[in-house]
Amino acid sequence: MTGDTAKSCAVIVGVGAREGIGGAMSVLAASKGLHVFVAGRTAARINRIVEEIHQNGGEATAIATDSTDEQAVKALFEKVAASGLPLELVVYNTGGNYPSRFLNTSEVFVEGHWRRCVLGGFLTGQAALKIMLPQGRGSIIYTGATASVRGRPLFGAFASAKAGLRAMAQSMAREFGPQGIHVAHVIIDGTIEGEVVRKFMRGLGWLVLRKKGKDGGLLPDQIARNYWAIHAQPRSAWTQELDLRPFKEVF
Amino acid sequence: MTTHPTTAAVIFGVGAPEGIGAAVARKLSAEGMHAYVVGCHADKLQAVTDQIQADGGQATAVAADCTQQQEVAAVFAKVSSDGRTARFVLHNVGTNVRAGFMDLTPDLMEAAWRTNCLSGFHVAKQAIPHMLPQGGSLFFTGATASMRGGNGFAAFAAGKAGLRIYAQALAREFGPKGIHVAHVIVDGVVNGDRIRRFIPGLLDQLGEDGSLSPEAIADNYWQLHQQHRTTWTHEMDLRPCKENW
Repeated sequence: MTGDTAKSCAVIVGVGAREGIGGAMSVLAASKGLHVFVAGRTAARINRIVEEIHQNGGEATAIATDSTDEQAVKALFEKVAASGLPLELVVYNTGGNYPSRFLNTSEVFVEGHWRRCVLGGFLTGQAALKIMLPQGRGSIIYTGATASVRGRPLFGAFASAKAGLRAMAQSMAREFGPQGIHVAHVIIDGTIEGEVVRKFMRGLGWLVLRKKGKDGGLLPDQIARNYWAIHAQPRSAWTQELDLRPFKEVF
Repeated sequence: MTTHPTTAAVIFGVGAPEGIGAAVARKLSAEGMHAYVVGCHADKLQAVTDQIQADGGQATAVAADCTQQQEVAAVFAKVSSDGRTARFVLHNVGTNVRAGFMDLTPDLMEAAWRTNCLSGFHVAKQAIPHMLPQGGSLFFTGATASMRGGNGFAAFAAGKAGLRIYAQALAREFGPKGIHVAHVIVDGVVNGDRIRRFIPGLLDQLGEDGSLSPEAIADNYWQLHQQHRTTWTHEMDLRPCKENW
């Protein structure tokens, strides 16, 4: 069923594999009755998620989007506005984590992290607020990482960008909370048991997960449940920051 | 004090003589180092070096835009070609941006990041190879916004928080190699040039010792630089006794 029964919508930015936070979040939001705009860089991957949502009887639209491109983000939210559906939830979930020895790190490398984390988060946040502020309600959730609060060797560029995003989210929460917009930041403190680790980072992340054993990595569907819980909070008791880690994680 | 010190202190982000950068330059030259005073405005730098020289210290003014890698590299090239070696480098570059989130533009976000955060990357990238052979201190000036995204400070806080976490990564990578990386959170109003120009009544309102004295801040940087490597501070916060926080 791909009918028009949804009464409101969600935008999930930074969707890749089904076994990732963006994919899990899209599927969950659709199962809750929202029309989900699934935004990611690769059309084939987001199409696959939309297909799954349709098979489950939910509603979704795939929109290939480079979240660091101002015009692309604008176009994405124009489609959202054109749907006429109230925008309930926006999740910003992009930001690749690449290591580099500091003295070999180039300005371009540092800037790339900043664009994916901070600039993309800014563009998405502002576009979301343009729709949500007149509604007087809505949730914007940013995905953070251990690096948002801790700078480790090799990960300076990523950590710097993630920390910048976190501070921006705090500022937004303070400005827009009183206007009914719930801005939250979720710190994922551990290895995600997802496609990125299993396929692309075979090596470090894969070894870490194997060593930790069962439930040593965060499951994307379980992360998504926590995002939804934040979104569902009544406004007299809102979370701005939530940390999530597997029970065995050393921290 | 030696007549021609070969040990240099390089201070990036020096403006008026009443600011933190100038106070640190005065302190380090008084302790016998040759202060390289780096900032955007040649006339202000000149006023700072004139004062240091009048007090019997040694200083050189270098005008540079710290958001440009080549200009930062040129500063260290000059220190070396002058026959000196830096043991102390301070990144004190930053501009506060106050704007409602919906009034910000991608360009404003980027400019705030370049000034407050990327300039720190450039300074660290040039300072560390320069200091690795002999060891030294690399300090960053932080702010309340390094820790807290306040309402109206999204652009500034995103830059400052990014700089703070970069400094942590550097401390962990280069501490064991003899570089003392520290981040100092200045949590309050600095009794300096900017506040006098932009919010003149505020200092009176804060009362005696209600704002941070640049000289007192500089003394704290010197204390950090003096720490023995078995007991290094990575992060230090500074605020006036009366500050509400």
